[in-house]
Amino acid sequence: MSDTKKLALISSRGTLDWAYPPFILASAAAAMDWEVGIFFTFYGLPLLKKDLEASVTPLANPAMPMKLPFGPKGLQNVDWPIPNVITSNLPGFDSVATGLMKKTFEKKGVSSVEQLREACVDMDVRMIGCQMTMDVFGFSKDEFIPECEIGGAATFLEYAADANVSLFI
Amino acid sequence: MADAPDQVLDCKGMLCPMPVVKTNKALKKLEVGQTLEMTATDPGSVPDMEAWARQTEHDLL
Repeated sequence: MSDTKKLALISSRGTLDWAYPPFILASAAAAMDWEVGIFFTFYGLPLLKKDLEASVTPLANPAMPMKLPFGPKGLQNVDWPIPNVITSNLPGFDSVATGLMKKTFEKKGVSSVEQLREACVDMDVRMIGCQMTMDVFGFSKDEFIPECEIGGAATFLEYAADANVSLFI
Repeated sequence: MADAPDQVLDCKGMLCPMPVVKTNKALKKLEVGQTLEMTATDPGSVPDMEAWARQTEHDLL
């Protein structure tokens, strides 16, 4: 029996567009019977909350394609240039952008972040919440999913010491 | 060896990583020697399944 490969991830960002990569990588690795651990720190920590509220903003995100997920085919392919003056001054624009992104992903058949996280839990992915971040931003453990552990940098580093793949997201 | 598969899994319409995730989950319930047939529409699932089979030491038919 070959040695089990190990994946260590740090999730430091909490917007919707950055929530996908750690859960997708973790679930894909776990599906290949790898051992997986994710350390959620700074803005990544809220991704452990029972009620995931990740949103996304096009502001200062020039690489984000702004395509409508509905309407005639030609219209759906248009990448709308939205200047920062609009994204920063129109109240509720972020909610619109978040809603549209979720709708786009749903239409294309990508699982939601909640579903991906659930798949990770099912496959025993180890999820560690950063104690320091919890203290600084005032989170309590019962806001988080019960399957997570709490630890610090040393906890993560010990786990990652013999990981085959270590990624900072 | 054209036996019917022991289990059929429909992953049509799902994008990465779901085809691989669901395949692994379904395969855990089968025994050694059994076959799982999985259909997907995601073109990325072709190299993904090949990588998965190499990593988990299963045979991709």
